[in-house]
Amino acid sequence: MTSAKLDVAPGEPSPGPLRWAYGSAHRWLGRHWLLGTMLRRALTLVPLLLAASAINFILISFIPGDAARDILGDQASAEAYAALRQELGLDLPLWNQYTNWLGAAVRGDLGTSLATNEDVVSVITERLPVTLWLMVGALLVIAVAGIVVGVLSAVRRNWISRLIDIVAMIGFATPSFWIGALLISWLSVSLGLLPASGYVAFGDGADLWLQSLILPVAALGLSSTATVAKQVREAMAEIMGSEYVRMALASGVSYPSIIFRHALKNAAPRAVTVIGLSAVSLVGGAVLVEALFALPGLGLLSVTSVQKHDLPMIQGLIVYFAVMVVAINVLVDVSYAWLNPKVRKG
Amino acid sequence: MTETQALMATLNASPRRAPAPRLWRRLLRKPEAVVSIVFLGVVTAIGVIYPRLRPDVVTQFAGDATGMLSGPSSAHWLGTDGLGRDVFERLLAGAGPTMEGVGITVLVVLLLGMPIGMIAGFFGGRVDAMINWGSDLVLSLPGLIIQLVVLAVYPANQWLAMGAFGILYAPRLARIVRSVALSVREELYVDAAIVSGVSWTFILTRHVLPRVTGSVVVQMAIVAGIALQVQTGLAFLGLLVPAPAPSWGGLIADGISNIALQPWLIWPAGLATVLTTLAFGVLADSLRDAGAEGWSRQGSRLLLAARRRPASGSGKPAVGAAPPEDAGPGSDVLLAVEDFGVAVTKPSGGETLLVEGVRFEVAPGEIVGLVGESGCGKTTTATAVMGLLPDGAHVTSGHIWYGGRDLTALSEAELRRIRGKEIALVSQEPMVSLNPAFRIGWQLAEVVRRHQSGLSRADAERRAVDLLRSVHLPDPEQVARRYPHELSGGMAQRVSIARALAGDPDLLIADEPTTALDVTVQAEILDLLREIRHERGMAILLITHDWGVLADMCDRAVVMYAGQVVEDASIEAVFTRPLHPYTTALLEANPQHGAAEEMLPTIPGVVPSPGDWPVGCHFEERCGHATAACGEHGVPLEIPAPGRLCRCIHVDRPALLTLETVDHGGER
Amino acid sequence: MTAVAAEREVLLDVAGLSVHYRGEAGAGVVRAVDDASLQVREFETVGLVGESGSGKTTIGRAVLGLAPVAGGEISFAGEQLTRASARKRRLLCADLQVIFQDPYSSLNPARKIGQTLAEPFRAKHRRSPAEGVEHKVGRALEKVGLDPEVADRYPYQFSGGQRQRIAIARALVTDPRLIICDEPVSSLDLSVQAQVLNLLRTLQTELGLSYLFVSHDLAVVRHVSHRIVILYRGRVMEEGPADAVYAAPAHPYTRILLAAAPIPDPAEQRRRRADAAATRNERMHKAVTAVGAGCPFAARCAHATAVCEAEQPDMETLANGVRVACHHWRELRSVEHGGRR
Repeated sequence: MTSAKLDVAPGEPSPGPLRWAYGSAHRWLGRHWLLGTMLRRALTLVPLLLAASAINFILISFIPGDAARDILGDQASAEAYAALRQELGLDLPLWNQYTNWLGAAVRGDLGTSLATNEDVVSVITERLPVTLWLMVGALLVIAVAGIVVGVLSAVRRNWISRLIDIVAMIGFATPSFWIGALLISWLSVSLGLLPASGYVAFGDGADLWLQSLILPVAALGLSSTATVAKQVREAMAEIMGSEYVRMALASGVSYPSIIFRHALKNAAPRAVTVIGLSAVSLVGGAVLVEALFALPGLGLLSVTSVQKHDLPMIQGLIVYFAVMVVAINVLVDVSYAWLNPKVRKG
Repeated sequence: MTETQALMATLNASPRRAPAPRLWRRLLRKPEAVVSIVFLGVVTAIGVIYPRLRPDVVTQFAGDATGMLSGPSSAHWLGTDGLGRDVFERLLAGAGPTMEGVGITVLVVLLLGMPIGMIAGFFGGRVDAMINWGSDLVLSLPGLIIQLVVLAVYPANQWLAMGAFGILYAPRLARIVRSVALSVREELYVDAAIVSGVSWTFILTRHVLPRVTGSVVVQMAIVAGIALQVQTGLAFLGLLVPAPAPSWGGLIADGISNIALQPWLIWPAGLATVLTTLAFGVLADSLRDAGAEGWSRQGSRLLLAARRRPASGSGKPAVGAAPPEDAGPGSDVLLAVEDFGVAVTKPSGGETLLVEGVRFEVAPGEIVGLVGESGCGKTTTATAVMGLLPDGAHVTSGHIWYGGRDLTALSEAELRRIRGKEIALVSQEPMVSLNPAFRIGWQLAEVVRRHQSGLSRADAERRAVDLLRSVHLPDPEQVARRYPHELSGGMAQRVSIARALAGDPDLLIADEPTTALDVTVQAEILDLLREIRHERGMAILLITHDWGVLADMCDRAVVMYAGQVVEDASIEAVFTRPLHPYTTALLEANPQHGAAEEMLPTIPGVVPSPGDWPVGCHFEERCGHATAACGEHGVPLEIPAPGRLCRCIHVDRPALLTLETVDHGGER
Repeated sequence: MTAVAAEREVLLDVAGLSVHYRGEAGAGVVRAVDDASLQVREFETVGLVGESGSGKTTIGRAVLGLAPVAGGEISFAGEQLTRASARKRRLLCADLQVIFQDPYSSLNPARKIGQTLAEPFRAKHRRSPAEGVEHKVGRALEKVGLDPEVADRYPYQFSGGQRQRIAIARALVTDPRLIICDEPVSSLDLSVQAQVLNLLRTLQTELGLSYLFVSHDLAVVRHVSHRIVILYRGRVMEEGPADAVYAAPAHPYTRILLAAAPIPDPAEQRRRRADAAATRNERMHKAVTAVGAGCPFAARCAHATAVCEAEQPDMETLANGVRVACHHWRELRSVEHGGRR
């Protein structure tokens, strides 16, 4: 499968799911291209996770001192220190430590937190919904607002286009945590409309849950919206000037059909690509926004774990974040192939 | 080149690309770019100098204990923070680590991304595949998290943290460089250099590097902006710059912790971050624009240099202004174009004529050939008949009569009822004239339903299959289920013709319908068009540059040169007794006529571009028969014989019937 | 002329050349050129004709070292090119030059004409000309009818026809013996095309050049070529003196190709169309996807029999010097002669 992946012109957003799936050796997958695409992408997860965790291990090996010293403090006896090192497996060569971790990880065991002694998987799983809701909300804002505004400004090329350019530039220049700070300052502190920090689980009241998410979602989503709108507008404008749109016009096809069927369906793959890229960058943005709004998600957990040198937790988080990025890429790939019958060469 | 592109190339007066040797000069002509550069220069200078000038600010733990969280005042321009320190001083000192972080990232991205991208793009193959695989991997790593790990291992080490960001970002630059290098690799001048035997390093440095530089510079400005945000973000988390030292991110964090007491405090550092990033972004945009101008500058200059000419027409006629007795030709004429002109508005204002004095008629069931070289206005004329002139182009004079209506005076809604239903179009590039995202059957059915309202979807689909069958596509049901990319060029052109037949039009405009096809496929498509004319009595306006196709297909020929109709005659007459010197010369220059061992008679010079037309006869400069009178004023179309038109003041001179002077010289 | 040409030294000898590209995933190998042989003699123009996908451009690129050779041999002036070392190739490439189709892409827009023309002298292991590079570049520009002053200008200042002249000058600057012309006039307008064709002919007479002239335009090829090679799907169908091939095409594909190209003479074209209608067959419309073991044209050929689909025909030489790869050329010829009389 990996070699099949290499045969496809590698690299571009998604050159090959269909071509790969239609390969003569994979007739069955040819009929189930969706599954093929997902399988192929899922397989890229393996080297990615290996690489990410290995980088992490190598970096950690450079830490002066180690987890045992962190736990016991400087006053502990040499014997206790050595015993704990053995218990934690820190006396083994780096390679063995890595394979041990890997072996456990495959069985779904990412170890125990050094800071709280809790199971890494259960801590992360518990906090995952916060980050997921935050990102899904931000993505919805980005996708819906971005596409609507982009199409509008492509159809009516007026001041909206100029405004989008300016807003997109300001959005590019404004960090999400600063937008968040402004929102807190206006809507929470001055007007007292929405909570400035904290998270209420969905089970504890849907209205409170929604209120606790509005500002973080806005902070995370707003800066990318104009970028998506700009890309959609450019794609639409390009398609509206294309030969096939001209020929559709020449055949008497109506204007609404040209915009909402002919052009939009062709612009969709580019919209999906840029939304996918935004989604990947949201992973980083979520860390900052969670820290700002004190949302107990994976981002905040990453920051505190780094501050506490909680290495098993950091490793676990890396695994989860990498899976998220790959999941986003799978979704992009699948919708790309679904929207675009001719999966173009890279 | 598609027709639209060809037309746009005409509009730009010249498809020629100019070099980009003076990027910086063009950049400095843009005020927003100058402001950005100055601003960034000042911020960098402050970042470098101020922390060294005022080490006390950097190490200050606490300030004025009595004046904490004060707003802006004359003593403290930007107020004081939670510990009573002067925010303005801390803002200036904070520029140091911020710009340092940006510099580190930019350097790492540049040194890593550019060579990797150039190697991947230029050498391709296995090297490219491996680099791509690696890039995919790196790009899937959660960037900020990796930076957090680095900071966990090396607390507050900006060089490593921002360097790591550079490494993680480098594949993005490498990809962009790769795609540019790949496109340069496909340029024929690189092939020519390889054939010349020059070394790889020469090609990489002289051919590839200059083309890559433009996009790299743009990318570096973008990278700088993103790096600044990342640096501020990490500093905001308190992980990058250790406690007493000021940083913009730290100042914002300080502001947020005091947001209830002094909301002002989030503004100074926040605005500094936004403005500096904005400056990088504006700089990137200006660089991109300046780079793009480099390639199109000559085109616009040619337009600017266009000679101003008196327009031959009186401007667009008022809607419905045509008096009844002038309501065009009789019932034996389907389409009549009269004294028709099109101009394009120049970017600088003013107009350049693309077409003027066009006049011809098409009778029902007749095949009329509109023949001429590239840039003579054939496609512009056809596009105008469909009412599909691109933005910026407009009708300056004349009428297009069709069924008693002047098409130039119709509204867009009225034109839309004519398109496809009464006049249909088949274009030059069959592959790009069909929408790639929809099945053939769907696209045809849509047009069918448009022209036959009340038809059910299933009936429309059936009718679509019938249409496909009528253009002799084998297995039409199966073709209807395919997407355009699953067709060959010849099949796609048959589909285009089927779509054109959907509304059962009376006139088909075929714009170079076989130019993109192989000669055996061309013969089949021409047969098909002939059959359609025969069976449906449909008239065809065939636009072509190929005199063989003209002879094969047409009843009449309309010869165009430099925006004008110069000759109009029956097909036999145009080949056996051409009247215009251009027609004569062109037929003689055709290698089909020349014997193998002989020199071909040539026409010196080139077709003048729109805007470069002479005041008098457009062919005068290249004509072997030109006299002083030819250049004096515009030459009218005259009727030298019944059923013929010719635009030449010497049309009566018998010497014109053969071109006796043979010119072997070069272009002027 | 034909007899004289046959005695001249063979300059370029392509024997059994195959070029394969890796196709799209699952599609296997694309045989762009499949066991093709041709020769170019000194002072001769060989026209290489075919439709898209025939491999005509690929053969030219393989000779220039720009396409991967999967099998067969290419020798130039008695020297092996296929397995030549990089150093030897560089020495030989002074004698072997190229003119491309697209005069816009073939000149680097960012480099002056003079810099582009001087490029061959940047090659390693090549002695600089005695009279100096600048002089050499000026001479080449003069030969194509341009002022040596143009060396100081950029490509955008020239029209398509002028650029093609500059491209020819670049090919001439090393005093080559053979120039591969890859569709050199197909992007030019008719009125400019004649100027360039004449120039190529003049240069051939003055400098004793040989051309391998790749084109899809049968009229142009007929005008310039002494001999022509007809390609279909990477294989040589027919090959021989241009006059003989055009007067009496032996291969069914050559006939279809020649009949399909319309000529600018309405009366003659009407007659040809009537002829073509008489011989039309439905097989021509068939979309050909795979090539079997036999003749690549068999699937579209009106005269194909079982042997055509099973066996690859050998090249046979006819009395008039034409060589043809067809199992049935004898019957076809006698039928036609019978019909004509």
